[in-house]
Amino acid sequence: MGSGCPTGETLVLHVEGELDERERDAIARHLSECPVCAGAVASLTRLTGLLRRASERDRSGPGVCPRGEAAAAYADGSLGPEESRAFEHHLAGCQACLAEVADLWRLEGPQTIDVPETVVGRVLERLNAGGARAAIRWAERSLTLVTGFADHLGEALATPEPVPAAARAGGAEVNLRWSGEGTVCHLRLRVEAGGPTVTGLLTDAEGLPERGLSVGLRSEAGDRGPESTDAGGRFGPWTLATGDNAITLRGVGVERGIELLLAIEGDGNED
Amino acid sequence: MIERLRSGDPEAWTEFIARYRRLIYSAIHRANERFGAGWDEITMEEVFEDVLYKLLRHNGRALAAWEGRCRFETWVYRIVRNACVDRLRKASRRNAREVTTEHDPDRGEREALPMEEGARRDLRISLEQAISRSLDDREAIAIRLIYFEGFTYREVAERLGTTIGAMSGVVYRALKKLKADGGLVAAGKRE
Repeated sequence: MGSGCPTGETLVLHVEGELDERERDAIARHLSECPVCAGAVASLTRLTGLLRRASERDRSGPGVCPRGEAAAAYADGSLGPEESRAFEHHLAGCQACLAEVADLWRLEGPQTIDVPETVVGRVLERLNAGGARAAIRWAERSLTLVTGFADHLGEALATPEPVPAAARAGGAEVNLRWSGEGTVCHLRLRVEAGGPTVTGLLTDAEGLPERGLSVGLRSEAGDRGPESTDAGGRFGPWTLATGDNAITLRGVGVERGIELLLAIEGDGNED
Repeated sequence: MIERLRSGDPEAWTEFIARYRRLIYSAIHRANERFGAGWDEITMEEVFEDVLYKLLRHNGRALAAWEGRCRFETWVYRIVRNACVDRLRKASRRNAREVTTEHDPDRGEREALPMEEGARRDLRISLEQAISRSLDDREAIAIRLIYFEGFTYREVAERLGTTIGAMSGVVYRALKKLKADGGLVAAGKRE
């Protein structure tokens, strides 16, 4: 590069788009006249592109990482200068710890977003229940209704009242009923072995079908819906996965109280 | 407060939640963005529930694990971060299964990614070797933060207590060294 050429540092900032408009224009003019700098920029562009493409979150780190709070202490500046330098030496070779530090830097910030009161209620409920979230469990079946709860534009709905499930050949039925004001309900089914399918029937307090409600299932096997309940208030059949299965109901009709009948087919032991 | 949680005082739960709910929920929103998780509000509420449940159950046993080496808030951020990473790992296992077992409309898009997984891994290994062979600690950290963690020069300069000008110098030297390191360039050519 000649004496009138920008420094390498400036070229890096140019490649990374970190220069302001005026500087950028000046560099662009220079590059059109200087094959040496243009070559350097092409080479830097290629190299930085290669680095970025190699970068997809890779959390494997070599060697033994410092335990516990070292990364957090480095991130918030609680380490002394010596410890800090020692930890930086580790960070230089360990993408996993560096990612933790970077994540902590990205997660901290203003406390601007609050969680709905109903969610806090759910946490307290779960703590009070000593973590035993099971509302119903029916014998001889590896299927448990983990949580039944409802949530809406601010106030909590009553927790659904489960009617004990009726086990029958090759399946089971569970009836949930709750009332109150609201537009969104969730419930979760925990299955100990994947395989069974679930269909649902939604009715209002009078037993009339709730049509056009949005129902979705989220589970480890993938998401289903949201789809609308048909004219008969039905949805499904959906295959339940091993682990948690979350069903969410949305729609204005829910505000008059709702009843959900889930029919579960299969013995829950196939996978 | 930790003492009172340990003694099983349920008032302490409420107090803890009142004090940290905004911090935790705001952090979950930022994690959603950082990790490109695409979570909806319901999922983030579930993560919130899990974080608080893990923190407070068994009379706040987890809280007592804080050694006090970092600030307490940072420690809570760390719990949030780990809960988010766990949740993402579960989801990615789920996605991996979907690709092989179910019709996947995004599959074409995923296959069109610029680099094969194997090639990327090879490049990554060469790169790690080049970093440890050629760069000093500061240069390695700067390269990792900028290229692997998506930080801007300005952010890295602020975090490492230096200026953007000095930072560009560090990065330029680092890039020159990586370029001079034959292993990386060779791996890039095989790509």
